Amino acid sequence: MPRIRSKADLKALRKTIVGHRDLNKPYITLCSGTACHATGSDVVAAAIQEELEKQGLTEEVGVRRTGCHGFCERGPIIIIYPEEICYLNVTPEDVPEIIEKTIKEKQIIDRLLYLDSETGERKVHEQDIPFYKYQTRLVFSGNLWVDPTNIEDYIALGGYRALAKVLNEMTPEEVLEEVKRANLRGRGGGGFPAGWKWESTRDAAGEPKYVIVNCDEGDPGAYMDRSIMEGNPHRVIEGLAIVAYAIGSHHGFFYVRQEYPLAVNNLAIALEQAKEYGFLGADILGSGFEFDVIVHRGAGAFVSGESSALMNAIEGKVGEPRPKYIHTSESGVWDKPSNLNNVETYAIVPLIFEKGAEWFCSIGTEGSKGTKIFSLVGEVNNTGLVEVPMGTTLRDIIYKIGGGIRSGKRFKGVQTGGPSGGIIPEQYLDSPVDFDELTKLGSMMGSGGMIVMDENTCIVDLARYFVDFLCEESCGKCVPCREGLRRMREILEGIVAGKGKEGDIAMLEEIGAVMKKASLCALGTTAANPALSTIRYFRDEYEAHIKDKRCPALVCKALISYYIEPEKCTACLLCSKNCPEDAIDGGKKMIHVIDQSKCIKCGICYDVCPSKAGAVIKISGTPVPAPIPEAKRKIARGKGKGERRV
Amino acid sequence: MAEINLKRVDEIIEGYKGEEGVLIQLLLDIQNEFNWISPEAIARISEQMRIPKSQIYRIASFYKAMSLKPVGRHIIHVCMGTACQVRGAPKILDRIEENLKIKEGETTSDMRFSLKRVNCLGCCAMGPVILVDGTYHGKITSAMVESILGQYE
Amino acid sequence: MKLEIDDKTVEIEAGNTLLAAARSIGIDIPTLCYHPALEPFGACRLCSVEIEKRGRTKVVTACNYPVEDGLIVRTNTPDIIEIRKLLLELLLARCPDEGRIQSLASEYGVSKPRFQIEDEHCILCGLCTRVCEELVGVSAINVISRGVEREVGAPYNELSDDCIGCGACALVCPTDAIRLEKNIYPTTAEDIQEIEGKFLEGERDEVLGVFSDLVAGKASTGGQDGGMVTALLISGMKNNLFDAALVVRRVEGYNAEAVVVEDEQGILSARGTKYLRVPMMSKLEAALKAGKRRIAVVGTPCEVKAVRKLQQQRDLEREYPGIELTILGLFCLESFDYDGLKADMSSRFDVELDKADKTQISKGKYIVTAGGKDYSCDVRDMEAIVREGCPYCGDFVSQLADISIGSVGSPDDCSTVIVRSKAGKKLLDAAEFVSAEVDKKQIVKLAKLKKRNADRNLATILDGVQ
Repeated sequence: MPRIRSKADLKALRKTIVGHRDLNKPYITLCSGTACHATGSDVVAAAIQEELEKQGLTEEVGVRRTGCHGFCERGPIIIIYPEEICYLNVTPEDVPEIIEKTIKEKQIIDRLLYLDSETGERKVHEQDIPFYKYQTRLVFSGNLWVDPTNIEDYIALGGYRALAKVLNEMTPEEVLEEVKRANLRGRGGGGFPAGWKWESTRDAAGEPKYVIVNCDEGDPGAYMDRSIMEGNPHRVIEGLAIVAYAIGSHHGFFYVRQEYPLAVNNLAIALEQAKEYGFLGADILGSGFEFDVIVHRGAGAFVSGESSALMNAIEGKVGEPRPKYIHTSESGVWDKPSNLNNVETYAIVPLIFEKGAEWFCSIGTEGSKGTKIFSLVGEVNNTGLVEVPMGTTLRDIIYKIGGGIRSGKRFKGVQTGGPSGGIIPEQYLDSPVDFDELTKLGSMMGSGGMIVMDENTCIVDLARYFVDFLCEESCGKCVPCREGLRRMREILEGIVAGKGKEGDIAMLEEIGAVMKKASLCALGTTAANPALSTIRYFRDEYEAHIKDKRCPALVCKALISYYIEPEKCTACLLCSKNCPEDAIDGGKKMIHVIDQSKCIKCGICYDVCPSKAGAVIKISGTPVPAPIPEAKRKIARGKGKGERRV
Repeated sequence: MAEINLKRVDEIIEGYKGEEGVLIQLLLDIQNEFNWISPEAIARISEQMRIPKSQIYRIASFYKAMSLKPVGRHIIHVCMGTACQVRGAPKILDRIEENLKIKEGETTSDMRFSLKRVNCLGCCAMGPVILVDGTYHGKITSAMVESILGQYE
Repeated sequence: MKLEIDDKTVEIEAGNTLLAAARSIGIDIPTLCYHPALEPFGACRLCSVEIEKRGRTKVVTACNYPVEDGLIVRTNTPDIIEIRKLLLELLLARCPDEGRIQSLASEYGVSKPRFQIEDEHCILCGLCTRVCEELVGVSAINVISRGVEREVGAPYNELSDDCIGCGACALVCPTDAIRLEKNIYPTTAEDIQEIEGKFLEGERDEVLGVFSDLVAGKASTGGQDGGMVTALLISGMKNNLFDAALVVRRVEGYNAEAVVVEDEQGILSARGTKYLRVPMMSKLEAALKAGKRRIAVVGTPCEVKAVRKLQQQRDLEREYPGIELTILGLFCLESFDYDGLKADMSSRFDVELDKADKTQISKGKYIVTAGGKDYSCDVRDMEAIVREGCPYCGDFVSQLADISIGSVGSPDDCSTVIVRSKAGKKLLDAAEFVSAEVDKKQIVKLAKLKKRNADRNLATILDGVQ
């Protein structure tokens, strides 16, 4: 492939690619993000290949492995073109039937379609499934169609057109102006206005300047950036090149977590292709602009997502935040002006130049424009990645798109903003989600993690979990963060262990306040948020643990007991067989009884007790009833259903 | 435990010589090649890249992807991300620890398994997730632990 | 720059920090991790102050916040006091027995922490690791791990091969932590006194240290500058004064490594001066672990210090029963970096160092012999390739060795020998050599020169210690 040397070249190439494609040819696309790997996308792909070969259809039917479609709960997902039939949870066993019926005979296999549990209806097309119906897929759109290892797929969709336009028709100042008019805010955490940030890097003294893509994505429970990087890397490369041009940078870095091997791999392929086609390197698209990028693998440290820490990591040093009151836009990598944004931010950029700032501003709220991708996970029915306009309410996201809480349980709260964020309770479900609203609620947007919790989640234990996470992930350099977190953990561990005491809550608040004011970096200043926000909204749950020694969610081991309700026990023996401590007394036709002195509260009996019986229960805050006398334990099987106790 | 092939270490170092800021990338390559970073490897890097040993050790001890201890034939990563956490990851970890009779961060005495916690594998929709060697196992329950581990010799 | 600190106006040059500005007008701000000769670190956060800019206030650390025109700084608001109080409470709970923390805490009215009390000593201020990296340049110790597991130490918690015992870390450490480290060898003045009392015998000379005998001699076996080291080792082994010797041998051309030898052949293979520092302590420990007990160690002053410090701080007799170390110290002005030296020789004389027959320093000249020809230059011209840390060492004559050997102070082809202990005396008595006249003045002159340099360098560190 010769390098593309002009906008006209690009247009011609796109025409050729599209012209060669027969839109009526059957095409099977299969999502192949990491989550789908976990559900067997590879074996399904192999089965498709095998079946097509067997049937001699390899010429007639196209196959494309695309990026993540977002509905990971139901992966692997395949879509069959041109009819756009969407099959979910596909297994290798389904493949021969799909080829036989759908490809050859144009019949739809009902069982593989989405079933709307409320209406009982089947949905043929992806866009009719509620999970997708209420989304606005802009940044994520390419993921459905593009094979990330094939640049021509991206070009066919109009890829690199925005770059061509910017390089040929706009000055860097005009680019910055356009982004400012679009009021684009960084999607990685703080929501800082991107146009202003880029301008300050452009204006800063010092050469060379660097542009950096943060794909470290350390927030637990978030994987938007991973999916974009894996599924549509060219969009990020294009966005980065545009930003580089605006800033006057000729050197870029991709900082990608090494725990994301597929992202690292697809990115490497994409960069090679972008170079080959002339979207990177010298004289890009005949504009004279030169730009190259290097991939730097992140070695696993949450704190390295902090901008100055990330710059240290790029220099090959320990990823600790720098103790300087100088912005990285002025003094970043090798002390040169450096601009850092996350993957999603760069991926939005080509869209703004394709469709204009006005269009972008027409989506979203006053202060937050455009769409945002969320990782909707936890105890929600439809987990996956969802892209919605800023300002969509939490309720719409969780109930309309997410399909509500699993197993009909009660919603308790949603955690946003990762370990720096907070937990938002039920009364704020109708709040519109944007940067400023979430901050007002004591949480934050962060990179877009949205972890839904039901009544079975203990809030105090969750706060302990986050503090524990940060104890490990803090760099440990400054006293308030390191020692503060350690003591917060000590107190929270005490509370969940039933050793909470009067004054613990006040102590947590006191430590949190100092951490907020005195810590060195953003990790430390926000590290107390999960505890502080839960105290704000769930104080009664803390108090139940401390004063009543009761865990309302029945989670905290030290505060709960397992108990077998005699009238429900069917003597199925499952619990006693599975108990690792031999703590369950029972036998055939005998009501089972847990020996509380031996019980280690592993919960296996609770898990294995058949839901029909539901005999094992958890008790907290009240004493365990005395075991029923041995003499009364015999179960006599009566006629018909049920049992009768003797 | 694979014998550390110093020649291979030298080859990896050679690929980075003369470049700045490459220490983390170099160590990741060593880690990926040998599954751990041995004292011999650190001494070699120190000598050839002219970096004090303590600075290399510091980096290797800071980043989670690097191990300063030899690891087993199979590495189990248990995801403890928030999504997995609320879906019962702690129980999965407990079960694996019980099953292998080791704690997180340790290696079985027969060098069959090393067990590590990881703070998010980014397959949050599939939680709880464990990653054994390169394979993701999603939506697992504690009852599945034994059969999954049984797949690895 | 004109700014206001606690209602007082201060004028100070741009580039200064708030801490410097405050101290310049006598306002004290507490610090624990700050040292004027080191880069600001911002870890202890005790120097937190409140600044006001365009009507908005925030908390920053004075040690690294640059002065700005028109800035209003408050160092003692109730908010700031609250911060310092809690930080000190946290530190006191961690390190309850540290005087410095106790007194600072009590200044702020904190006496009994409300947290579980621990028994740490290190507050992780990072002064030791930074002084070792930024000033001394050897980076023998460093931060290890992260988060609440963060600690300071030598790699693998094993004996450091890089520590030169200069003691800079002990000077800056605000607590007892460095003195309790077991894998490095910071040798302070008190340590030296203690070691001398315990291991050495003789009169104490201000410049040359404790010694009982000072002689010059030429060994009958030959060798560089009289070959006395080789002679002492061979006769010592023959007379059963030790079973093995830890010596430095050339490998791969001129580069060198420490090896344990157990016979004359081995000793002879290590002949010749190297002027290089090589990993030694790990080799010594390995030898002890391998069962060797009676070992002669030949080392430069820094290596001698390391071995002595090890003897002082660890109960080696209990760990390795029957241990008997005889320390042969070398005279050393400074040592060179191998790669640097190689490049220097090549560019200066077009000599390939790896093929050189011998190198020596004599009368301020560095002399290399290759292809039967001598090339020489001023040692002072070679400053650029002096090993990190050497400028912080003030010991020219290996003051803590059992016996010290060098060329300075004796005629060409002879060695100077200083006997400092009973073991040293025995060793000298067993050796056969032809004695010659010693010029003590010459030794003293160089020893003083080295000491003066080191004192000057260490003074920058001492000056900043609170």
